Amino acid sequence: MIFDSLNIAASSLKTQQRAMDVVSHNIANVNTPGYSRQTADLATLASEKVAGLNLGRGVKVMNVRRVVDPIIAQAQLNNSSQLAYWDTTHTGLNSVENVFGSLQSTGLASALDGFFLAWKQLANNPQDHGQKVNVRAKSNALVDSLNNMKTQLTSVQNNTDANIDQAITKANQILDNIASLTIQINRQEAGNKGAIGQANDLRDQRDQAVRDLTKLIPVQQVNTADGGLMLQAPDGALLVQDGAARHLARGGAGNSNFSTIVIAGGSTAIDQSLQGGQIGGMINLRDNKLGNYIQKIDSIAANLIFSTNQIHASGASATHQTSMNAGQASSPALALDAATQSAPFAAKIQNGSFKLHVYDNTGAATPAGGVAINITAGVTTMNDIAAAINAVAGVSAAIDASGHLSITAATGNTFTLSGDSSNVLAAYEINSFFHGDNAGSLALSSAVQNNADAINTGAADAATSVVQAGDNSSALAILGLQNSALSIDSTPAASLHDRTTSLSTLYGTDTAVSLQQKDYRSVEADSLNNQRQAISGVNTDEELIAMIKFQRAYQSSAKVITTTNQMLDSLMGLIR
Amino acid sequence: MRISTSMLYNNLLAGIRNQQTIQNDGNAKIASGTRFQTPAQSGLDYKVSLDIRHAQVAVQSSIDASKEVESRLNMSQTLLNDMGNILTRAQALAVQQSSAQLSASERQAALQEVNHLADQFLADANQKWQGQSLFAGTAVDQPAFTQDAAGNVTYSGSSQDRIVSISDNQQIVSNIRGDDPAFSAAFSALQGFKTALANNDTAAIQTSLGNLNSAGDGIINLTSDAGARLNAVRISRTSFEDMKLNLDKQLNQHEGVDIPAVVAQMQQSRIALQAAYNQIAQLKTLSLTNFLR
Repeated sequence: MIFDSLNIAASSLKTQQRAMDVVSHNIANVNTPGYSRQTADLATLASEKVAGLNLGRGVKVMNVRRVVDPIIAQAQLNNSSQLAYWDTTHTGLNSVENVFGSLQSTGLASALDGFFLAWKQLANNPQDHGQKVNVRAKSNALVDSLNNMKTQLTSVQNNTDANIDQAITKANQILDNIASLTIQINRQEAGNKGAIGQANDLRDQRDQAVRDLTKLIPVQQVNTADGGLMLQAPDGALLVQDGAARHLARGGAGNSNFSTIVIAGGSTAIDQSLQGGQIGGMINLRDNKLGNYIQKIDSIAANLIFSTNQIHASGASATHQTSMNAGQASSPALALDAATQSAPFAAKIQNGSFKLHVYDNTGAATPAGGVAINITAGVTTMNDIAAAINAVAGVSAAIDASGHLSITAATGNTFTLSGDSSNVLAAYEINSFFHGDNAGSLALSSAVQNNADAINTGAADAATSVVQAGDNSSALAILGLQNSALSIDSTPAASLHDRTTSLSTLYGTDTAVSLQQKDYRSVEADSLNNQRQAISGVNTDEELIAMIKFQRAYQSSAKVITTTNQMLDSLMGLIR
Repeated sequence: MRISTSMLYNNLLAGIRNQQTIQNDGNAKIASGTRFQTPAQSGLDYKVSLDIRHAQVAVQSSIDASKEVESRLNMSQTLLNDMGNILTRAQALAVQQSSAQLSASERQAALQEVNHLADQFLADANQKWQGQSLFAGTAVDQPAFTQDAAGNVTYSGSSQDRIVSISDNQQIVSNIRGDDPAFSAAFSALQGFKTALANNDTAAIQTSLGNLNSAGDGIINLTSDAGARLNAVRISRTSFEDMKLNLDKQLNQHEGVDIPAVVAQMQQSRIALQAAYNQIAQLKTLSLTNFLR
């Protein structure tokens, strides 16, 4: 029976030792991300009936259990997905902050003010060459501002799209890791029953991997009793089932002209259902935020370009022209407003006419009042226009191989254009101020860029064809665009200033909302992390107390062995 | 609630981050003197700033345009005054020369002066200001009047006024046009007076006197018109200058930071930050590890 004491004490030594191992493991992992503290569940060994008495047989470690709360774990998955989504959106929006200017330099708003101020100054001194140079300089500043905005936003949009590829690669690695961990967990837990003998550290690693995955894409998690795991994308597409992972991949072009995201081997786009995670945030940033801003600055540019060109193309200055080249190409045999014409504003052409005024070498108009060139929408072609111009004495027109119309005055003659009610001049950038149709393609017309005197401030008189040096009618009309509600592209009518300030407000509001959501999710993350820490976190003081407890039990058991040994010595002494 | 070791550090770290954010934002506000700098910081406030600045540019340009109009009208008024003086002198000569006591030679001597007066009147009417003909309408690159060999003067400017845009809804005619009947009446009266003197025709001199009086009245009316418009523009400019002051004040109130409030907030945050630092330094002493030997 003395040997039983030795065995019982020995079981205690072994058990306290193992419990100490668990304490040591907990302390070692006090700072390990995703680690859940473990506890050694001690239990008595089965008792033995000796002489009618149930005698205990000692102690053993029944199980090493990790302490987790599945409800908090699930809440953390949702939170980390949303936090990553808003963090990515907010970071992306911050990265384009300089595009929208600051109070030190208000960017597009001040460039627009500068542009119209220059036109006002020119309108008040239309004969002043210096004012024309100023208009050109301020126009270039506006063009640069819009070009830079478009370039920067497009660049960030493309970078964001490239980052989606990197995030997909990372997500696929995590999916592989989760599948691999699931296989390892199944192997390690094979034959165990229920929670006994769980592969705690592997499960922690897998939980952490799932949390990492939700930072990239939102997922739905289903755990099975045997250690298996199923992950689905928000639209139900299977990502991981037990040991098998399905990868994400890029699909065909989507609505935003960027590639969609699909499950590798499939064709159904899942990107629009990704309303969480970094990838969801990047899609939101790329399509809904940056895409929207780009659309709005393109609209500002389009309204500026076409509205200005409409006025400028019908204008003239005291210095008449000897040649003009269209800035937009045409398919000469097709109707000017045909849908297949490449000129971006061709659809704006309507029934109407413009006048061609030709002046001889003395400056006299021949004939006074000019010649009307008529346009019928859906019928008149660029060939017809060229033919009509060629029928006017003193000028000739030709269409080059690329479809650009050019008008040239005969030697000694000059000409001007006026009164375009058909929009053909503005649509094909003949006698225009701007070139292009969006913020990226916007430029000054080559004629204005090369010679500031090509800026039209007045207009040829309808009856006499005379253009007075001090005529500022065109300049005043362009100045009038500043606060006029414009809409040439089916967007709600608004002035260019209002469109610009609305864009800044939209950006500011988007940033504020993303910051508010990020802060909210961040606070929620801190709270959930605290809740998880309260349950699963390691408290070193607790562990040290447990350590003392097990140490004392170990010392006491050792004392039992020493005492039992002395008892054995005493017994052996009786025999000797 | 059970507390893990990480929670102790994480909570203090979160607090430090918050206080550092307050310090950083406060420093930025004090350094810039504004409540916000970018649309990201306050979208709607930024829009209001842009609107005020837009209005400031518009008001300043209205002031500049008003000065431009004032300059032209002022110069026009000066020249019209001069023309009025010429006509007054011509009237005085006409009164003198209408006397039957004067001889033909005396009238020839007077003719010399009238010729000079007529030349001066034409020079005034063709005067340029900043390189632009003042009375030629929009034909600023041409003389307003041309004189033929017979001495007849005709208007060669345009019938278009020089419009200056003061603001969105205010455009002002900044010139006096030479095709106003007052000019032709004056030229005609001077020409008639010259002819009457040359012909030693007392009756015609009497008629010229009436014409000169009438032309003088016309020029005076034009001068008054220029003066009235000048006054109106000056009043308008004063109004714009008041608006400018108001806008400057409004912008300052809108963007300006309440420095005492920010400093107080930063001071409060600084105390919290120092306490958090102190607490972190003390945290390591509050561990069972330090008591185990």
